[in-house]
Amino acid sequence: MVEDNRADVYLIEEALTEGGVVAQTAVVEDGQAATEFLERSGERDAPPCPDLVLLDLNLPKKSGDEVLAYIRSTGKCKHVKVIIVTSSDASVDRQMAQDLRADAYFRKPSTYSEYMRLGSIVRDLLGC
Amino acid sequence: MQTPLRSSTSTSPAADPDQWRRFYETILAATPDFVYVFDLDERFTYVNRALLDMWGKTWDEAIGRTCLELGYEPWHAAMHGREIRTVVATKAPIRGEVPFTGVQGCRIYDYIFVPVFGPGGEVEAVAGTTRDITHRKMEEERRRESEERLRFMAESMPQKIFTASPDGQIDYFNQQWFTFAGLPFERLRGHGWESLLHPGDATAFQQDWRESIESGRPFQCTHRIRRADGAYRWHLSRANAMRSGEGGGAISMWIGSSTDIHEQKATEQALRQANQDLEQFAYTATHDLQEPLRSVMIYGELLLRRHADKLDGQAAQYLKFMHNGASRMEMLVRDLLSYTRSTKLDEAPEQPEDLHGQLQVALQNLATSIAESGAVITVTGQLPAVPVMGTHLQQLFQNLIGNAIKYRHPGQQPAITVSASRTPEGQWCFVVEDDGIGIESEYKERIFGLFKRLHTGDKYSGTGIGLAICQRIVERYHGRIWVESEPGEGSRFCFTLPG
Repeated sequence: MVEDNRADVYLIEEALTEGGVVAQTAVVEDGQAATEFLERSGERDAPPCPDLVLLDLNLPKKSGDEVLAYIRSTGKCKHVKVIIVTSSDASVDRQMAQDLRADAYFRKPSTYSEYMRLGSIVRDLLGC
Repeated sequence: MQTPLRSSTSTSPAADPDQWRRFYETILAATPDFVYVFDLDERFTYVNRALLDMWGKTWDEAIGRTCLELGYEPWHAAMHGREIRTVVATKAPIRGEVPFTGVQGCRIYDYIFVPVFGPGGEVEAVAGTTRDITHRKMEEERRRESEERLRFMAESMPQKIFTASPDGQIDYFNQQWFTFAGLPFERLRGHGWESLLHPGDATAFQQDWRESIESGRPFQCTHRIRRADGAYRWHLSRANAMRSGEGGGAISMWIGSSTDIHEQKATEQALRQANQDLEQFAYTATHDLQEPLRSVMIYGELLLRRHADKLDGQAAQYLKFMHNGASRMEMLVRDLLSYTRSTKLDEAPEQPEDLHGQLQVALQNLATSIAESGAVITVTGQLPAVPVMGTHLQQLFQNLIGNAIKYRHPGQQPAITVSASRTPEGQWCFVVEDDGIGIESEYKERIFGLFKRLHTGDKYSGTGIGLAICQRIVERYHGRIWVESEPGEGSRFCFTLPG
């Protein structure tokens, strides 16, 4: 989970639980930390490549689209599934996500029940 | 009289010299040109009818007289005398133009004197013909004057003026060109001026120019040209084909102008940049403003859901106010964003948009409130296609029909009609008419203002941005929006868009 807002981290975890997704999650709070996390993955004392990255766009240090571009080009975890989780509804952002082959685009809603839909999206994507 | 005309058949009248004579006499008497013969003493030995009439004299008065004796001014008579002697001496024709005042007043004449050779080859007389060319001369003079007037006009204008031949070669530049470019005519003529074009614009310019030359259609191009100091300045160039004759004959020349629009262009660019910055700012602001609002709303919701048992009635009420405040703020921010988007300058109107399609999208977006209110929406007649962006049309209909549903009489199914008609100015006038609560006349202007509302949020929800968006969209296309209404009697919202 690449998310700098703890209020959203909590909601995303709730959504995963609601969706019946059983997973080990790791949270990083900025884009730089995200690329470092993925770069280290698989090394000794480091977790393996994740099955899924939930990626916010508006992040400190490195933006979400930079992280996604990194993942799809040079990163170790080139083929990891990525869901963009953002409050942006801008067409440029949606286009970017499509161009960089994000697997889904979830716009953070302003009601609890809509937010919980993220859980089923993750479940469907991971097929578990 | 000799017969230089040749006859080709035996039945020709040439066999009869008398008949020939009758022919000649008829021709000479009938021609409007003057025909005459001088002897070697410069006296008239023959003059035709037309010349006698012009002089106002009879045959007997004229024959055997010199020009001077017939009342010609001395300089004129002397000139013809010299010419006759020259023809005799050189045995060659002589031609000239001269003004002469006869019965019809002062006219201008074109004349030719030719030697008449005797049997031995010597010049025995000098024959002449003279034609009245006053009309032609006056035409020439008029044309010269009008050309002078045009040239003076061209030279007096602040614009750069040019003319080109039908094949597109520039053959005239006014002084403004030479001052601007710092180059003489010789360097600019033909295609020389093309070296002034900015390399980035030259190809498009030349292609457009070539196309106009080939098709005869008006030329127009925005481009940069180099000033004497090397700086490029934006210009708007236009040229039209001038055709000979009234009904559009062949192209006789191209007349064009180039206007310096550099300042205008710079202002436009600055404005576009400012608009882009504003758009970016508005987007960022709304995005970043919405983030914390979402948290307030969702966590407020969670508190109510999960901890309702620990909240007393007042605390729950406070939370509800908080939640309502946040959702209203979110709505404001969202509408504000669409307001700023509604006038983005760089999106030029596209091809005419199908209004029915955009109306359908608007109705789909309103599906919930249409279903809830039981509104009946009727489109009367055909809606035209207009050169307005689809999203703009959709916003117009959505806001106006949305309002028509929202401001209905309580408990009544609203009936709404949408129609369009042509204005005398060639625009389209659209009407969205409802049978709702109507508007008091003093508020008919106010309702189009940003954040202006007539009702409290409890009674009718809203942000006061919808009609402001409509007004901005319509004004962006140089149209007008207004309302006709009576309280309790429904409202007619009308707006105009380009045809």
